[in-house]
Amino acid sequence: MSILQSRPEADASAAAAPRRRQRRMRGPVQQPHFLAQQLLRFGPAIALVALWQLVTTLQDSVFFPTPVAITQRVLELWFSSPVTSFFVTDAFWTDVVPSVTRALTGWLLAAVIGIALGLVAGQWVKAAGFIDPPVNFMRSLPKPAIVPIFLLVFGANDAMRIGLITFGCIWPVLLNTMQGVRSVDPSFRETATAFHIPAWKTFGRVVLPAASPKIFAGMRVSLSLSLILMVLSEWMLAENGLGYFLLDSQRRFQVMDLWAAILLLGVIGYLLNVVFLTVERRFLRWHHAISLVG
Amino acid sequence: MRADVLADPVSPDVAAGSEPSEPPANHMTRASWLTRWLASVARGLGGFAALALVYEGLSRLELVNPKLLPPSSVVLPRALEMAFDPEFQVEVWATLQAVLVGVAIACVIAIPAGLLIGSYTKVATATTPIVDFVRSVPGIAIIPLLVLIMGQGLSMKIAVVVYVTLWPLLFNTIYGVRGVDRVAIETARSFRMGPMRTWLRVVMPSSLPLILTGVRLALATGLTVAVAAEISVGTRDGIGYYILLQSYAGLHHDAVFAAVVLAGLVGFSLNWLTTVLTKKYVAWDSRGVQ
Repeated sequence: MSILQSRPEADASAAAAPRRRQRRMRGPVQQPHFLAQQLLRFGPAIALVALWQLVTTLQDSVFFPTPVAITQRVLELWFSSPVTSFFVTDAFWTDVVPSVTRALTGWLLAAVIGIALGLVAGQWVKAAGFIDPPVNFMRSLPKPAIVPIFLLVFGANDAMRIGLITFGCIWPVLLNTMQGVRSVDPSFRETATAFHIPAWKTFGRVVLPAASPKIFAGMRVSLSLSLILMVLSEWMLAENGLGYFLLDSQRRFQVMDLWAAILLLGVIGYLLNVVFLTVERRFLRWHHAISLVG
Repeated sequence: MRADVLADPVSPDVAAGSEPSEPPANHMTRASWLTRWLASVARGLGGFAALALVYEGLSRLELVNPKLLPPSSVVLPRALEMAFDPEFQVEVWATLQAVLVGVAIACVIAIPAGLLIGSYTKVATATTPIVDFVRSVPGIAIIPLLVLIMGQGLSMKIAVVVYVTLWPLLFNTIYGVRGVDRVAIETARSFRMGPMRTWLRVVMPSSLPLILTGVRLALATGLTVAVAAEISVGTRDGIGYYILLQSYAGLHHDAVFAAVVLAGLVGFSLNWLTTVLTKKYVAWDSRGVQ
């Protein structure tokens, strides 16, 4: 997955580079071109929302409220307080904060455990045939099916919820870390050996950086997974969180609240992804630099 | 792994534009392929046995009430028994049906869309904000809404599966199309092949490995989300329904664990099946097999 993700990006920017140079030479054309670019980027999205607004207004269906109404509902539910409480309402602290905290705690735990296990297991190349099938099996366990088990063992509390998120998020990180460590160019290791660099130093300065693009790819997959598992875990005997809010709205037939929660979850997921990509770009700047040259 | 791939006969149809074809496989290589395959299966089973043993040990330590956490020596025979139980097979089929139909519909939408987005930079720029935002909504979150709109039947399950599996299929198709050899496309253009024929004869075959990877990921996520839908809304059939029934109504924990193991096996075999198909049909490219 990671190769699939990194390669086309590298290709695209490599292909874009000469074109950009040409444009710079032409000079004065740049300004309108930039505007056209922005129009091309956001025009269709705006048009789509406008179309959505138009169709829902005309249809006036109970199940499909207008996007403007949904946005208003989101603001009203979670962001309608005065400045003194930073605009967020009490509902924000019972719905959004516990959910995001659970998802991120579970995800971080999974990342730490997955990377640690993956680094050790990946070094042991001969064990690959033994380790990979069970790990793949664990990954393909449908996570919702495990929910009752976690519920039975841990009971309905935050330990169960965070445990479930961690359990689900470990596998992509673990698999990618193992693959990353295994696919380190052997000549790197041989070079390190040839220069008598101690094993622990090789591990930290050669193996870990070389595997990091794949590790980040696995963590990104897990990040979106953590939100899914968070919602899932809050469906079972919870008293707060967005998952609970969703189910509660469904029981009360509040279609508008369902749409509002879905929109808010989309915004949260989008923001988390943006933050993650920024951090990733910061950490992997050297990697992108190399892959552009090479 | 590499050697297995090379030992497969390469059909001339798909080999166009890839590495020179391998010499035909003789009996020696076939025999060694078989032993190697058996060895890899044995290693995998060894890994599974280790996993089962560790779990057995954990359960026997009795940190948790063994009635809540039955050991693998109880769960595995129960799973075996259930696998041949026609009643449980009906539930598996109910879930599989939703997954397969959903993934098929998602393919019909995502692959053409991916071809367009991957081929034209302008289409990509225009659709990126929309796709990025819609994709950020966790698929599971739309289940309660869909239940209100579509009820609890098969169509709701299929709709969720389509929504969730659209993204891996779309992204893998886009990456596949972007990875197509420039020279191959330019060659097609210099032979005056139209865009339609270029897509069908050049772009599609060479992005097939990544599309198949997308199908593999889609089947796994589709199964997950179908079971999620069954557990969360209380449908009247499916693996999730069975698990829910056993855990709440009967408190039959061995049956719950056995059903979870079997659900995992279904996911695992879907994964394995697509890997085998990928190896067979796109043996000329190792990108799809990882």
